[in-house]
Amino acid sequence: MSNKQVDLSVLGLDDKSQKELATFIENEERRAAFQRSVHLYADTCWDKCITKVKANLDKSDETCLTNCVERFLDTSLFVIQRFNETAGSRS
Amino acid sequence: MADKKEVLMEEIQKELALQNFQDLLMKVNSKCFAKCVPKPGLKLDNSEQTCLTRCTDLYIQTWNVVSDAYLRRLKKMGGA
Repeated sequence: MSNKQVDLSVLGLDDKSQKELATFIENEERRAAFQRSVHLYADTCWDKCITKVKANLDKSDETCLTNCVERFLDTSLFVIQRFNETAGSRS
Repeated sequence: MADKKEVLMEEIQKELALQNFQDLLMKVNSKCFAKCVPKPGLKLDNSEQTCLTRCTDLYIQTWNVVSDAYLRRLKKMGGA
């Protein structure tokens, strides 16, 4: 997942521990990246879906938020595909 | 050796959890100030405080719904 080669040899751990730590770091990085994305989507979709402040989200709020996330990701894929198409027609 | 590894793992987890919490705090502050304090006065009055309390809870609920939706989508795309 991460292309960074973290040099853990400086820590002076045995091989087994070093491997476990490397795997652990990889997983934690993946989790942190996931959370950063959630922050971005929550920010965007809050603006689109939450108009007034009430005590709890209702079903329609949850639907709006879920749709928002899904369509945002669809948009991302769509835009990438579009860039691929235009790049192809130029070459 | 095992202790050292565990200490490192704990430190890494704590650091990342702190970063995530700080990100959340900044977002809640920003969004809820915008929604609840449209005209900043000399102090936060009761209605503003009530709004901020609700808004904070609401944003956390939103974060959770978004997190679930994103995770489901990742699993569908086979990448979680």
